[in-house]
Amino acid sequence: MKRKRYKSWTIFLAAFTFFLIIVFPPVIVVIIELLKLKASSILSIGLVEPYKNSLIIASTSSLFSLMISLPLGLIFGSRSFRHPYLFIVILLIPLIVPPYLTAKSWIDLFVKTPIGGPLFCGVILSLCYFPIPLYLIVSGLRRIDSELEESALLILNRWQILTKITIPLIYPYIATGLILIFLFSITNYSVPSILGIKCLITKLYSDFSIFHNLSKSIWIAIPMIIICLFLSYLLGILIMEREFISFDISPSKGIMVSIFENHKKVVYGIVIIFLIILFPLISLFKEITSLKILAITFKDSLRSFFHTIVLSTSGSLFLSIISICCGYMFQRKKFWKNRLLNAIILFPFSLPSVLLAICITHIWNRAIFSILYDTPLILIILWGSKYLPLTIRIISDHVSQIPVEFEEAGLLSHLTQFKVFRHIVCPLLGSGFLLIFWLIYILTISEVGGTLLVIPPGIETLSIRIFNLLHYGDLKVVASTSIMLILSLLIPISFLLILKTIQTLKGKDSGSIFRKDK
Amino acid sequence: MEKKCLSFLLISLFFIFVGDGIGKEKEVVVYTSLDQIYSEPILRGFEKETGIKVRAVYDIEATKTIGLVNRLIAERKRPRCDVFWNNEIVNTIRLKKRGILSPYNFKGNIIKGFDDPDRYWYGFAARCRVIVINKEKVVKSRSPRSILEVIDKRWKKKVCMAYPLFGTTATHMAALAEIWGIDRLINFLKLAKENKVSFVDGNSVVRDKVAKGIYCWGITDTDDVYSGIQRGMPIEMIMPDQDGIGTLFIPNTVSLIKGAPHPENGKRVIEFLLSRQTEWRLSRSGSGQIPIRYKIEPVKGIPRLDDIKVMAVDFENLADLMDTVLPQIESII
Amino acid sequence: MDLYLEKINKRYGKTPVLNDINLSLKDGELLTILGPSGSGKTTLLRIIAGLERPNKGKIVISGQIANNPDILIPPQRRDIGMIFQNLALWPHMTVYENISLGLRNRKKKINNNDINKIVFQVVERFGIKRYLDRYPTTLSMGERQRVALARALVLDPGLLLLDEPFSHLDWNLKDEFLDLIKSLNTTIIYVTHQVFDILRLNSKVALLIDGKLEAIGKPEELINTTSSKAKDFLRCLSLYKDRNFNS
Repeated sequence: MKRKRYKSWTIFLAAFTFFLIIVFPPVIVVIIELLKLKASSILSIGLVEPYKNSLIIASTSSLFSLMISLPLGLIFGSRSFRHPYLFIVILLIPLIVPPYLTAKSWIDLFVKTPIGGPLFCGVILSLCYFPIPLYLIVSGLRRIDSELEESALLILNRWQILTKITIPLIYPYIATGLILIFLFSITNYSVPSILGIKCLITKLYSDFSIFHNLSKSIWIAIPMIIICLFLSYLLGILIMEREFISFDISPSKGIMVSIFENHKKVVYGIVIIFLIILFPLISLFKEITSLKILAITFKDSLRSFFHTIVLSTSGSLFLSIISICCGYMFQRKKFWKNRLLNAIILFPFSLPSVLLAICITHIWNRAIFSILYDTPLILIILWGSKYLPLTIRIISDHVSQIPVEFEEAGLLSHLTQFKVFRHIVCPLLGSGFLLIFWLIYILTISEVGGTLLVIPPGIETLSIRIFNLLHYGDLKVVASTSIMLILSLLIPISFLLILKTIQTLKGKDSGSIFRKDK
Repeated sequence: MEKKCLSFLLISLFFIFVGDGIGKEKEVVVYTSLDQIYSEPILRGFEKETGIKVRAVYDIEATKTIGLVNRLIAERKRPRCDVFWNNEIVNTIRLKKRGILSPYNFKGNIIKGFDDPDRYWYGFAARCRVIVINKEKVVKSRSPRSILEVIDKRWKKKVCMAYPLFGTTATHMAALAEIWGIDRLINFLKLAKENKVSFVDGNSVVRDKVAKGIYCWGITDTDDVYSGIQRGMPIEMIMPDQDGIGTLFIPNTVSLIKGAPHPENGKRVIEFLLSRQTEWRLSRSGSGQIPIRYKIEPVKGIPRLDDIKVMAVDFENLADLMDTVLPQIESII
Repeated sequence: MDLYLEKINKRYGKTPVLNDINLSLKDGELLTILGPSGSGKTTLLRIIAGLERPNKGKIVISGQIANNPDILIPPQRRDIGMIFQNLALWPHMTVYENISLGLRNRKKKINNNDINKIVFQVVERFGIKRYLDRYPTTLSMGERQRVALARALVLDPGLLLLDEPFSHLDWNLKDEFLDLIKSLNTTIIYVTHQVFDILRLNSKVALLIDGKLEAIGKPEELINTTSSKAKDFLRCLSLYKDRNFNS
């Protein structure tokens, strides 16, 4: 009997093994190097200015994101907001456009002004990442029991309800969003690089590129590692046993009290949408003055386009499958109940991809691993080491929403554990799968820092191509290549939307696109 | 649906694994630090002519040349690269001294001063270190004529240059170290820092910031200034120190890597890059490179080699100096 | 199917949930487990089904040890059907798919025609043939109960466990289902906290209070129990209003 049980769990054990092999070796390298540390060595490196700049960037980014996302969240999270799906599509745009392109658009706007510095960098990053806390805030608002508000309406005014009832109820979502923004901002390489800011991450990249000294690189990253460890612990506590992200945005759910009157909502929405979301695209695309340039650029970048689509799609698919298997196992085996384990699993996600790439080079650049290191699979290892902890956590959250009785009923119907997972759990994880697939896809397509360090010869993603082209300043070529990048981001979602539409038209409407046909 | 997803995944993995390896004998790996926008068309031309697929690794502006050089050093036990096309010379010599390169007998003529007598590397299509000024901010009669003006107090907070740890700027520093001595160079950089000279991410960034008027002038390369002028930027090029130490002249260099996985294909790339056709294309490309192997007239706005007072340096010495000078510069910057 | 439980103990952390439960059931017998909320009724059912493992004790099903410190037969191999409190119907599958899933995944493969035959037999018995193409969320509570029953019984289990499945139904419907339960030809354990169910089923009753079996017997025999806890509980239920429990 025990043997049969192990057989059922083989696929989960295999996924868990992949997870351990991909995610933890760089962390182990970091720990080993930290143990060789000498205090005098750190002091000689000169980290004060980069450290200061990194903190300014990340703090500014988090605060600005909150200033944008909280009012927007209170608008979109209200019951009277009728078009939730529209807002999802529009607000995906800042996440789709790579941060360095947004930075370039705003820099070119202030062409005569010597704009720059860590504050400006933080503002740019907030414009790119604000949808993250926004989605979290809306998720939180849509879960609030309406009776909590209704009972308060009898005795408090609108602002008091918002400040004393609504916002305190959603503070974990706000805090989670801020932490995520902080982590994304402090580890972002491309925007500080474009702006020429000396921060921890650019120093880390340059230093490793010059000296190829692993120990020194990790010593440089120590302040960041400490901050990331602390934040991943905090993140683990905040999202522990709490539904993380949900896309249940049916119009009947949400808060009743709104901060704006209807017409003001519209004005605020239009200003935000234009300024923040559409402006980078408009300023970029106005550079394209002839179709000939577009055609030539398309032809030159076709190989990169193809590499980008294949790598990101297959990487996202593979990592999503690993996430689902591990997420299911972690949830059912109650990994997340232990705070320390929580923090350890989330920690690799908080590390910068540049540092992960440095460690990956150290581990995998050996003859015995040439089948991995010399092929694009090394990119999948990099992306997995960075994003698997987050996506596994998201899937675990989705699994927690599936009553365990569904699986028990399956077991009692003579299904094996794996068949229960395959026929019952997986179809119900459809929305979770889509969410993490998309997340990994968007993040991997715009990932630059770490990818630059490990990408094998002959492979070039559109992001790297655009990032390199940005330095030569030919904006026409940059703009044309950016269109290809945006197309590469939209193609899979269009494909899935078409599939969903076909299924809906055929009458399969119970919400999952993974239902088997009779 | 799941079967479709799995099929796509398997096909992609197959393509990544196997498809990528198909026809490995008809490929060559080139690491190039010349800007992708100029080097890529040349390499594509080679592909078209020979049918050999070029797997190129381009450099990023922020870590120009040094990034690739150290990658080659890190990979020396298991080289992935066949040919190193460097946009300067000193780091190529450093690689030679470390035993990373392999000698190759070029079928054409050897150019004295621009080719290695031991045949480890060959030079072609060069650039100069120049001063770029913003025409609207700097009056021509009062424009800087020497790089020493970097430490002139009248230019406080008005000058920029690329990080002196990478690319041609690092080479320039090593050249100054040879002419002035290391101590004078270090002192010069300290004074530059006190004069609030801005160190930015690359020569093209220097050009861009000067063109925007953020800085009055900067030190960069001829190709960056030339491409900017072609694009209508309000900038001008000045040959520095024509009455003094002269201007540093930096050729592109090409070399074969020791233990290269595709040495025969690598040799064909070298022959192609050292051809007249390539030098002509590079001179006519947006970078305006200066021909040195063949008698080709440079484009308008780019000086001829004979018309420039060139800094007299021994590149072999510069390569030795780099290892000493770079860590000291890093501690200042 | 015979069922025999010997000294079953279960604790969650330091909290004991079941204490030395001894129970035996003959083939075809109907047993009702009665007790207040939190007394361990559901836990006991889950242990019998194999969904949880007791800390101590032995379970023997049809002469075969299903559970002891060395052996654990998994739930899918115990030939047990169960109806959960919330029914646990799979929302992404139609009624037909819910019922036929167990048949399709049997070790010994059955062809589609035979599967359809078995499914149709069961759905006709429960009057849900016209709902085969529908999803559980589109059915009423009573209709869902029937589907849950059909799903549990389609595999012809030797033992059927029911965990307060009819608590949300009105009296008429409940009455109908209890009659249906009585008519089934299999060993059944029915868990409830409602008096109506005991009287209606009129089967052997096991009284479970605070994790201990305080009394076991027919409803009228429970009156003679010596356990004070049992008496208090029965008094609260007003099981026998006219009887004097003070003696």
